[in-house]
Amino acid sequence: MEDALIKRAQQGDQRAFQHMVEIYQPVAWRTACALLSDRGAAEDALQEGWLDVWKGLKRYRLDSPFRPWLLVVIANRCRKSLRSSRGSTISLHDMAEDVLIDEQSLRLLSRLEMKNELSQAFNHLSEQHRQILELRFFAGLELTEVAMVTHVPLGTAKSRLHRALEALRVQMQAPQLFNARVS
Amino acid sequence: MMEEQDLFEAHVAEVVREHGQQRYGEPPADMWERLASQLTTTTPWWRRLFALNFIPRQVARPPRRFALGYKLALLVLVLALIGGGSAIAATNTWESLLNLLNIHNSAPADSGGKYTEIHQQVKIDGATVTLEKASANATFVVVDISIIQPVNSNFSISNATLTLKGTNVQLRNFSIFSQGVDPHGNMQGGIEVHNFPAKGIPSTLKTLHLHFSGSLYNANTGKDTGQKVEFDFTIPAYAGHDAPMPHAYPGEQN
Repeated sequence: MEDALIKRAQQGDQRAFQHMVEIYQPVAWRTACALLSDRGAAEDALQEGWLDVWKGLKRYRLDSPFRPWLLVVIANRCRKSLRSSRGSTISLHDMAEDVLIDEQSLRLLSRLEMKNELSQAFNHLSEQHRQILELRFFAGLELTEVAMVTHVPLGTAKSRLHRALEALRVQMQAPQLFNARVS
Repeated sequence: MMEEQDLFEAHVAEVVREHGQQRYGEPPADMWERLASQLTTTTPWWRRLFALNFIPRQVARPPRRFALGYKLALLVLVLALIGGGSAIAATNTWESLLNLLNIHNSAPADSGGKYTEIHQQVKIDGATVTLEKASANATFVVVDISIIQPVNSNFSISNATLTLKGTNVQLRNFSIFSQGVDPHGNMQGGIEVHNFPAKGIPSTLKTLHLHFSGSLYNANTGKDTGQKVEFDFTIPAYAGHDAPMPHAYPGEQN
């Protein structure tokens, strides 16, 4: 059914394209938000991104999965948006720094206020850690999709996610270190 | 252990979803209205030309010729490119990676630049792990470890501890990681800057005899390989407290 919809959209059927927008809008929206970290910028980028999808549909091959292709088109538009807003050549895949935190006790789980602490800890994460956690858990992307939209190998996406989770653990255990770092 | 990890991840997922929902809200409801007015036809240009009953004329153009000046400029450019490429190829891969990671340009923030070069090395599963430098003051012991590995590997060091030899003082770390790929695309290099809060080290010590211990974590499998990375080294302890911030590389701060 999806293939038929895409085929019709490829032939210029705007109603079919509207259906596609409705189906994929939530995941596209959350991905743009996670990448740009700003609602207004995400709205603009998403609008432009959907237009890119419309224009690029002819190049899409039906024998490959549509969702990753769509997300990469949206991510490319977000990347352009980032570049123009920052006036520099910062790209998502150039942000290579990670924080690696070693061996934090999982006994933290027993803390009564874990969720609150997690919430506070999340606010102090680095941009890259926030982004990977949002792509994975807010946008609900598979790790392969995270790797594609951030232009990194799958292994790097995995290790970044691991490190982001570790950073959260450490932030919960020793918040003063991170607070000092980001202030 | 694994269940606890899954539970932690589930909690994180819930918190991240709630944060995202609060921060970004729902997608704009009028997206289709915005798009509809901007969609253009996808009819190929040549069909549109036919629709206008217009057939473009074929214009015969003579092949473009370069003037002698352009040819010479092109030759110089090609030679320069070949020369530059050879120079890069001749450079040691490791040097290239270090340059890429700016390790030579970085100044340790917490010891006034007083680093001790160590260069101890172990090779595990195709990865070369090197203790590059270390430094200590009253606030932090900072240990730089590089990992050079094939691009398809994803090793890093986990469970790192630093023990002051002859005592039971054991320090836990947090580390900052930078990485890059060598210009040939075969190997990747990472620098892990392990920052150990130095609380517990007697301030009277002028020299620290240290034992670094960690294990190799494989991000591809999501598991610790169980292989130990250990180094014994000695560094001077500087008394200064002037910069308590962890060592960071350029571009690392957000």
